[in-house]
Amino acid sequence: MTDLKKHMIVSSRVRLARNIAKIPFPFKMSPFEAASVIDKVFNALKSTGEYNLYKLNELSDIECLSLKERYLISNDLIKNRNIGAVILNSNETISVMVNEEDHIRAQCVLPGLDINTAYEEIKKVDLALNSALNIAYDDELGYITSCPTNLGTGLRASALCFLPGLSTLNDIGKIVKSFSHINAEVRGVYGEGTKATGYLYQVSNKTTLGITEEELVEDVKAMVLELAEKEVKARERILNMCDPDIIDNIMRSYGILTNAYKLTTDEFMSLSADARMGACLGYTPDIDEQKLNTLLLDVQPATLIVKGGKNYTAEERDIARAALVKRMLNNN
Amino acid sequence: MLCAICGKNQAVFKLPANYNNNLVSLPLCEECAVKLGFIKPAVNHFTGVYKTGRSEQRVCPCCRTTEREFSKNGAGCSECYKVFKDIIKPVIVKIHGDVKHKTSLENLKGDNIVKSLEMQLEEAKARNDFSEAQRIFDEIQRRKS
Ligand SMILES: [Zn+2]
Ligand SMILES: [Zn+2]
Repeated sequence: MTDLKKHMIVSSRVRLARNIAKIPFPFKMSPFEAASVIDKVFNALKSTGEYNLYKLNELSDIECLSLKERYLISNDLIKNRNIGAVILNSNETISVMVNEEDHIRAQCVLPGLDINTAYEEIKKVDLALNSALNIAYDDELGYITSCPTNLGTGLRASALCFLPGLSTLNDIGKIVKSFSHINAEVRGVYGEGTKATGYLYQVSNKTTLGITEEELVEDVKAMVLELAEKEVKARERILNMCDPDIIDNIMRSYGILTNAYKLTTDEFMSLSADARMGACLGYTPDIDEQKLNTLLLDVQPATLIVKGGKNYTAEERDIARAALVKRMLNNN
Repeated sequence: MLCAICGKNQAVFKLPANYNNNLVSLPLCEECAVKLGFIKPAVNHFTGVYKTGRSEQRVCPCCRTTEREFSKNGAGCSECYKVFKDIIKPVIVKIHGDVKHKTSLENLKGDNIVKSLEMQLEEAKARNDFSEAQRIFDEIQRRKS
């Protein structure tokens, strides 16, 4: 049965920017100060839960890239490789980058639309940091951040949305405009090398100062729910159009995705977006959302190597990727 | 080392990346890294806040950032936001509007943290962890002062 509401919100994310008072920001800090910040942050967290510390200069290129592919670290942290570290909880829902743009960038990512839980989780991290460290704070400016755009709450709440209907009908701009009174913005998700990656959009708050954490989370949620409602209508319209080209494209993509012997990462990204669209419109067999979301991370080249424990060549990776996709999608 | 993309600028870091379906360690200059979407562009919102000819050259006592450097590179540490408060204000109003910080996290404000630390201190004493107790005690003193 077709359920037009499925495959809509991939994940929810809340991130905090925090700094320790009176220690230079990462771009200006000494290696000694950097090491001491890493120690301080790890000590503050490890008494509150099961956390592991990874210093980037102790990791291989492949390990760094895999962390990056799984959105646990950013390239900006890799740029600061000699002073940067990441602290992860055991199930990797919480990631705390140390010495990126700010001393501390903590994020919680959860599947589906669950910004509130992500926010509750990150609040615990915040409390642990604030009780153990002298976090830079000003009554008027709120939490002090390296870049003034993050001042105030230092909080960015976001949801990753899959919007094939609205994006095919070119309707997103219109909706965002009609919601301009709300503190939320919508951006297309572009891959590196600025190739758009399959109908994915990031909804997040615009500003961080002068709005409470709770208001900010509610605003982002309101925008997400509005988009979700309009996306269902857009999907209905596309179904009613019965456009042979759209249908053909979806079915071909599904065919290749589930039958190919070799798949590159880029091919996987674009084929899986079409297949996901097919699943939500009912043109192709349904795909378990969680399985597909896991696949999106697991098929990335460095993660294939790290999880497979083998140092594949490019061609071997493409073969392994196709095999993994087949295995995951065929036992629904 | 030269940037692998433009071949002209000096590379500022090496980025492990999936480039044309190959896993490589790309030496990149800042410009190409931004252009390819690998890193965020470094935007300094405080550019131009320093007016040449200003008689006094203020310096942040904590990170030694001068007013001129502040205008070029932005804040060097949290204290810079106090030292250069007057020239920062208009920039912040431009970004966020003329607003003050609002929060729903009143529990993270000073008093509550001290209370929570005092509880942790008692717990540390109870389990004879004196080095931890000393650390918490110092932290409480620092926050009270
Ligand atoms: Zn270059
Ligand atoms: Zn300073």
